[in-house]
Amino acid sequence: MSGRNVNDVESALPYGGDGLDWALLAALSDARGVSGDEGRVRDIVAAAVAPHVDELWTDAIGNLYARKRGERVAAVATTVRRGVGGPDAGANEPGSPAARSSEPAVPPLMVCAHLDEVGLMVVDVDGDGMARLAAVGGVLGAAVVGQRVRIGADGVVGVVGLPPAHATTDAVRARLPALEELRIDLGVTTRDAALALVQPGDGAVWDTATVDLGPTLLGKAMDDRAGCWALAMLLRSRYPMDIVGVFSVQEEAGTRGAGPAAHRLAPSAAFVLECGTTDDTPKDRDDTPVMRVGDGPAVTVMDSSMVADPRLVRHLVAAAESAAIRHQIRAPKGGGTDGGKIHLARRGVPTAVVSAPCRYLHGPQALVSKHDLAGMVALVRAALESWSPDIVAPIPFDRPGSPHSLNREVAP
Amino acid sequence: MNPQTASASPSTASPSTVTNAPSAPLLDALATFTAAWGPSGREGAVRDAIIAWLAAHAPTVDIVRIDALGNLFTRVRAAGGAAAGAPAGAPADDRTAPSRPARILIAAHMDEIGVIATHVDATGFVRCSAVGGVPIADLVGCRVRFESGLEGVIDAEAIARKAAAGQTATLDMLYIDVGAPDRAACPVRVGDAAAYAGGLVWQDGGRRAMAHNMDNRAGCAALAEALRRAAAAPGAAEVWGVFTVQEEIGLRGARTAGFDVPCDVAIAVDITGAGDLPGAAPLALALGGGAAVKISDGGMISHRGVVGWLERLAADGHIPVQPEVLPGGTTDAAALQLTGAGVPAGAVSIPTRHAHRPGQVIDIGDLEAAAALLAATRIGPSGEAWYTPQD
Repeated sequence: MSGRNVNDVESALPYGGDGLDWALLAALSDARGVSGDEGRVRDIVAAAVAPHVDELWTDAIGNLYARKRGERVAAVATTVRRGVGGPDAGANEPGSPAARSSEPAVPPLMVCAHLDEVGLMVVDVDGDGMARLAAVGGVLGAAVVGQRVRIGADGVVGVVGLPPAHATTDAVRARLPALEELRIDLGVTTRDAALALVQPGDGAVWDTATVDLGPTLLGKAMDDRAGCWALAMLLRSRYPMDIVGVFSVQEEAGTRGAGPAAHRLAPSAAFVLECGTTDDTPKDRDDTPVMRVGDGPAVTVMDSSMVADPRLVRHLVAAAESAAIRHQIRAPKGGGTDGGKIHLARRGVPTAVVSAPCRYLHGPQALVSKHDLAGMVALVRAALESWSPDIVAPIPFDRPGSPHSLNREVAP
Repeated sequence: MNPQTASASPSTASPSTVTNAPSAPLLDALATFTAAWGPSGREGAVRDAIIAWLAAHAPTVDIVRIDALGNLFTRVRAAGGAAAGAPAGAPADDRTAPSRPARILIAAHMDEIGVIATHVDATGFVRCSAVGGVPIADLVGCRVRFESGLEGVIDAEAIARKAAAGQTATLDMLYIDVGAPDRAACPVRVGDAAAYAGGLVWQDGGRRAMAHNMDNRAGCAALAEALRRAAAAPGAAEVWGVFTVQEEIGLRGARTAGFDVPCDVAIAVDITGAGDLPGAAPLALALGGGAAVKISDGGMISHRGVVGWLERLAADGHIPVQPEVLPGGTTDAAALQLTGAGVPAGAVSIPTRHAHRPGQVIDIGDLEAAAALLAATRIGPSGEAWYTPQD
């Protein structure tokens, strides 16, 4: 990571932010991993969290799980360290087959961030050696025109060409290019030469190195490597209860990884750590933003995929206020997260989302604030440290005077 | 023939004067449930009203649990008191026990559509986005109510509206005026939800009723009344009444409820459209024609066996029904049908005019018919050729 000297720009970060591993965030953002091709990112995460967690395993679709035992059980439990799954992912899950088939006696808290990023996929190679492409997740054509990209496992360099200004007609200037019109120039002239470099199905992402701008960071995949990074930071601490960090796959392709993970873990509650769009650049209408960079981590009330559990929202806001962490409420607009799948798993999982505000996400240069990220780690840590199972205890339904007055399930 | 219309005599006052009137508890349920505020994800007051109604009118209905999302699970055991295996949540294979009663799940969603605050501007006006399928262009002029009881009116920016082709209001033009002088004094916070303001009004001498949230408080009332009748005289089947959350934003409560209570038959009770309006799109559903037995809608094709069973139950009970083929929209039954390995599912609907608008009109006879038909399901599907206990 290159960058300015932080101290030239601003004083020390709040919430102990200067002690956080910012180089890890840069490495994560720079790693290539479109939906379905998260292996490189998963390996970085696994290496970063392995020294701090009690169990580490993957499942059949590539989700990475990191269990941090609670303070009470950690004292007596034998530390189990598992290898990280590769092609045989899923084979190394802890527990006997019998144990796997039933819900754990004390369900853990699930904290989830997604490994994948949006990008491109090579779908074919033309006779002139140019690669045809498709979007993986929500990517505008304008976000890739003129951009250098890296393709596949070997990081082959290509460029999505931008015609020069003097050779561009007014008609072309007036509209954004559709992704389907674009091709990746691999610098070769024949189909055979191109196929020696890339194959249909290869993922491609922007060739962007993270830059430290002082109070902010600029990188390609802050959505959601910022969440992965925050989760890795959180897993360095121990909490009163069991935490399972889930680094999920394929969020950008339709929140596909988190649902199976929540089904497997049957957690008592879930926190999703995301990186969310802000819509906070100046405009002439006083009807926005969704959230602002610099105003702290954002708590979701509702989005397209989920109504956040109001008890968790209250807990997060209370934790922020008691620890004096600047925070904001995300405007309830469109957009969805892994929470949309997690909260509908099994009998329902109380779920909340905390987002790092991000400008220009799903593009080559996404901007996040270190203050917000330090606040996000501090906020979720405070929420976990002050966690009580009572927060998500079943809603009571006393019926005064009734023989069926109950605060528990009816006996058979 | 529709016994309701055949025997109804002219009446001008209250519902109690209607000949062959629905039960007083049913009307009480409709009144108290429509008075409760509850856009999607904020169903607590509706749930409380239902629990209070059950306590008052049907104390022998088991209130089993409220789940993580807020679904309310209630149960009427089969005659003889036998539960269908162990309580739900136990391993699913308990349902293979021989001679257990059939388990019928009836779902009515508690939530209503609304809006949710996204921004408060410097001059105190509230911007919002939609909760569920609100008719955005027709929100202009609607009064909405927040949880605190605060009411506001929605309008659209005049200039933006004029500039837009067709002058149709879009969400970004809309604002809510709650009478606040500026942002600091505005009592609305980002994330506060609002539903239509309104109330229950009796029409046509009590034969019809209008409310801002007949969708789906009418269904909740029908289900609560059905549970009351079932508890008074249990049948061969165990009936689970599930009052679900978040139907209007994607059948979300029904998904977890279906996982939670594996059942042999699933039925949703909800409102549907009506075609007996000036200039209405062709739709063979009329107010006063009876409860609608759903054949299909935009999200589901009902199980043919369940449809036939409901129609026979209606015929046996002299309950007026009409078939429903709804081109769009769907109900909790669509989610329940795809639960686990699949569940035979159908729906009983209450024809409703002006659905998703601030004045939703139903026929009380249709509501009574829906309650009666749902109550009749407690006899169970055991004699049906299509019925096999799910496992």
